[in-house]
Amino acid sequence: MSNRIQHAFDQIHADERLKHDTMAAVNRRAYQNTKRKNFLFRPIPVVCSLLIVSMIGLASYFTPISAISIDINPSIELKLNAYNRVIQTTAYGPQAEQVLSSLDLMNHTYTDAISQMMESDEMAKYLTNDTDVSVTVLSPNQQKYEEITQGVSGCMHQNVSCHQADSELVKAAEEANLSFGKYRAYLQLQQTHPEITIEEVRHMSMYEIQQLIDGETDVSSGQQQNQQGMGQNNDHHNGHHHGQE
Amino acid sequence: MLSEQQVNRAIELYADMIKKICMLHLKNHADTEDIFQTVFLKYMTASPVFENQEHEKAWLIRVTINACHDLIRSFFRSKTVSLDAVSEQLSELSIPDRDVLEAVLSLPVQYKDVVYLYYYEGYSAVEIAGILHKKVNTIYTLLSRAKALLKKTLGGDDFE
Repeated sequence: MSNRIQHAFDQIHADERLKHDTMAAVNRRAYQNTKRKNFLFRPIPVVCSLLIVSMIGLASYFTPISAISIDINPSIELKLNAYNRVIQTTAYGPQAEQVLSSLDLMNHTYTDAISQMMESDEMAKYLTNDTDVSVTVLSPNQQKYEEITQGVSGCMHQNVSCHQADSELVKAAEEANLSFGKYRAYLQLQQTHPEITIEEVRHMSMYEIQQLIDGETDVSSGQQQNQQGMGQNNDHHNGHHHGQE
Repeated sequence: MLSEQQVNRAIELYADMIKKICMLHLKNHADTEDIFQTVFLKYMTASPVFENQEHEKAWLIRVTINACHDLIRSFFRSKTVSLDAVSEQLSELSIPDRDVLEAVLSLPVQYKDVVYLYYYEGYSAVEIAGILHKKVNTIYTLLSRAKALLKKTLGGDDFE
């Protein structure tokens, strides 16, 4: 049967027109991005006006409006401007630093940035199809929150749980040097496990935190009752999911 | 960003593979064109660094499968799809090949990629688990069930 399948699929090819059209379309879209930059180079009077507008635009371009905290273990925060583009990234911990160092997310839309992140090989070490990803969003209003969470869910293939943050939470998280998504989970955990400290939470994966919140873990033993295949334990985890039970 | 030459090289090398994956999930040529552009634009702009060609191939497989799933789930995708492109292509094949392809295409969606990667691309279950971000046991289960379904549809004892 494997021979039959091989023979059957061997008959399927991409024709030259498809390849040619793909190359042309990809070049066109890449060229459009380049052409936009050339727009700025105009005669002097126009340049001055554009400069003034650009300076105003530049200031607003670099002003963060929203933020997204993506927590699996690693935890990564993205700050977005009014155009939904990434203007700042923050990694929490060496694993997150390793993920971010392999990527260039700046100035990409958040959906592109998140897609890149989730498809990267560094992040793949922490993902299985059953991975739960916690996404916490800080936004100026409810409409923006819904827009961002919809965008985030649309570009992830894992189970995503979305949460809303406010500026107080973000400030407290900054002081604790935790991503605000993880800090939100820590506050939730405190309601049932007040004895667990921030330092302990810092080294836990989101899965472990959620297990404790759901009451599915014995805190005193520190062992997970349902550890099968998740492999998201602590900083010493080697990040490989495939091949595990 | 990668150069035109680099992208062209990738298109020449992997277009057939991406076409085959598209065929597993999509039903018309317009969607296939969409996926091709999506995948190679990502390839060009993300500029991933690959350790070797196998690594590059696995990345493209994953991105293509994800892009197909995204397109199928997309709100803006036309709800009416043309059956002509796939039917036309199948009708050009010899009958045994057509039967086999139709059987694979008619599998539930979670089995198709696994069957293609295992029987055609020759990946092991462990490698498929890595590409698709699933557990190895899940891959074995999917393969086992897919085999049973294909055997039922196509008959034959030479399935392994």
